[in-house]
Amino acid sequence: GLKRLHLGNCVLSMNYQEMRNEFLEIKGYVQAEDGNLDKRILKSSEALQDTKPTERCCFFRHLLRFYLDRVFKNYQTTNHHIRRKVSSLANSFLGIKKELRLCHDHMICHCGEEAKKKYTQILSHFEELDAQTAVVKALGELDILLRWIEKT
Amino acid sequence: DAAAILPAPLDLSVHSINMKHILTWSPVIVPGKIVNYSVEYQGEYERYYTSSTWIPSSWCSSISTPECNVTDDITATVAYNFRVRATLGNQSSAWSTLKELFNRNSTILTSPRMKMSKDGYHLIVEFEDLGPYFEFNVTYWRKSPNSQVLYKIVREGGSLVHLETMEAGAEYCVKAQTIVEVIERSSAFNQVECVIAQDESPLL
Amino acid sequence: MNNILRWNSPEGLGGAGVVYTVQYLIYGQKKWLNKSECRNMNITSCDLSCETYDYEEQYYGRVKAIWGKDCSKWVETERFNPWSETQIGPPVVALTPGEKSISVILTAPEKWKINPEDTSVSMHQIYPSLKYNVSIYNTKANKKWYKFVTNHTLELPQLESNTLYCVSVQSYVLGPLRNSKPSEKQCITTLKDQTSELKVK
Repeated sequence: GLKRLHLGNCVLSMNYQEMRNEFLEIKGYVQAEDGNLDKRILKSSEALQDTKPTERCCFFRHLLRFYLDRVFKNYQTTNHHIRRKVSSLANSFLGIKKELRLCHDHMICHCGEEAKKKYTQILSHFEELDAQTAVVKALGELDILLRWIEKT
Repeated sequence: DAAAILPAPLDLSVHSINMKHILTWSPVIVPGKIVNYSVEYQGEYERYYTSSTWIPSSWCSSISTPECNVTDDITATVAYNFRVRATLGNQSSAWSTLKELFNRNSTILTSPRMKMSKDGYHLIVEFEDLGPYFEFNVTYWRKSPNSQVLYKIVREGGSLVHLETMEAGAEYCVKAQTIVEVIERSSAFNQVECVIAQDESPLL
Repeated sequence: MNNILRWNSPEGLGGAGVVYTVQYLIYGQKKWLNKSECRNMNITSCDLSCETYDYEEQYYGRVKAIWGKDCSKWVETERFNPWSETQIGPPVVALTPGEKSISVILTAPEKWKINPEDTSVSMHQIYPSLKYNVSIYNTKANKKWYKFVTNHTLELPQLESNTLYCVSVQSYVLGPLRNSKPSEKQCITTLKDQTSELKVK
């Protein structure tokens, strides 16, 4: 059930399996809304697990904030089941972000060049698309982020 | 106006045992009429990021009993709020909300029911199936001087799991507790149970 | 990771004279790519294992039907994620009976190979948390029980001699149920009890 995530000196546990189950419930629906198959926001070149350990915490914090502030918040659907699952994922992300705050408070969540550069890249992929298209694509790519987390 | 006539439900509270969460409230009584209720919820995310939006509960839109299984709505370890309103025909009451927010990490964890059995010298254990969140931490030892205490994690309930290969005539004792990783808590241990392995089979 | 694209033939044509063409796309890349062996063919499946060999990528497949001079529009699959969607087969199970014991040797299932001579990649390497759920059925006592193991050898001691036991093993990876198929049930009889044999003589 719980996954220990090692982000340099910051170690946190997250309900990884539960989040994967929740994503599997929306995967077909959300990915079907994404018509731009030739575009990708979370590219392998920016993978979390390939980031310098000392900067993973900061990069991951950026990613969490990105999803909380720009993806979950702006995803619109009339489907109640999908909305509940997105809410569940958003609240799980919020729980992780609160845990990550402790690492930040203990000064073990250092932001360096690599974290900033990778996050800027992801943001530019996101902003190349129009708003709602980008939100749908980012939500549909959550399994890529979950796979990064699994490998970290 | 019409909404004010119908009183709002009172005494909302969540009763949670073994990660099963039930929202209850005091019924609104209108003699000779059936009052229906609708339940909505919000997690911490909704309160802080989406200006307090509410989400219809999975199973309780227009129900007539004053309780709702909200287990499927609470799938993160953050503080949740619920609101309920009564409806009668085209009248709707005001919404009532929880006095205290609910977090699933406050659920009551009971010690697990356990069944022991033997297949010859093999000690078998079976736990009640409490759902996908539950694992079982089994502690067992042979009842003899300076015997070692052993541990085993049983991943799911509802199936017969091999615990130990016993020695002829020896007595083995077992106790167990549930573990719920997503809230990082475990139950109390259950009652210790002991079994005695059969003696060596007599030679003909 | 043997990934086969399958589809049903179009309704109303009875399948006669209809041929199909398949393409695939690596998610995030520009071009749809042809699968040469699956051009104008009349069967309704196409093996894309080679094209989807990198399980860290995600893919789409699409098919169109051609009937004489007419052809249908492309029909696409959902996004396919080999790593999280592949089914994990059972291990190879070898049983050796002892007088009152059975030794079980498990060989992890292997990843699909492009060429049979290629070195094998064990699914254990891809899924480090791969475990096995071994079920043991004592036919005489009519009792079945399970044992969760992570390594590849298992000794079942203190069994009843001269008794038929049946064993089946299922691969298990933490995460959404992958309903992996258990191995074929294998039954074996433990040897007769030598000591009581001697006594009787």
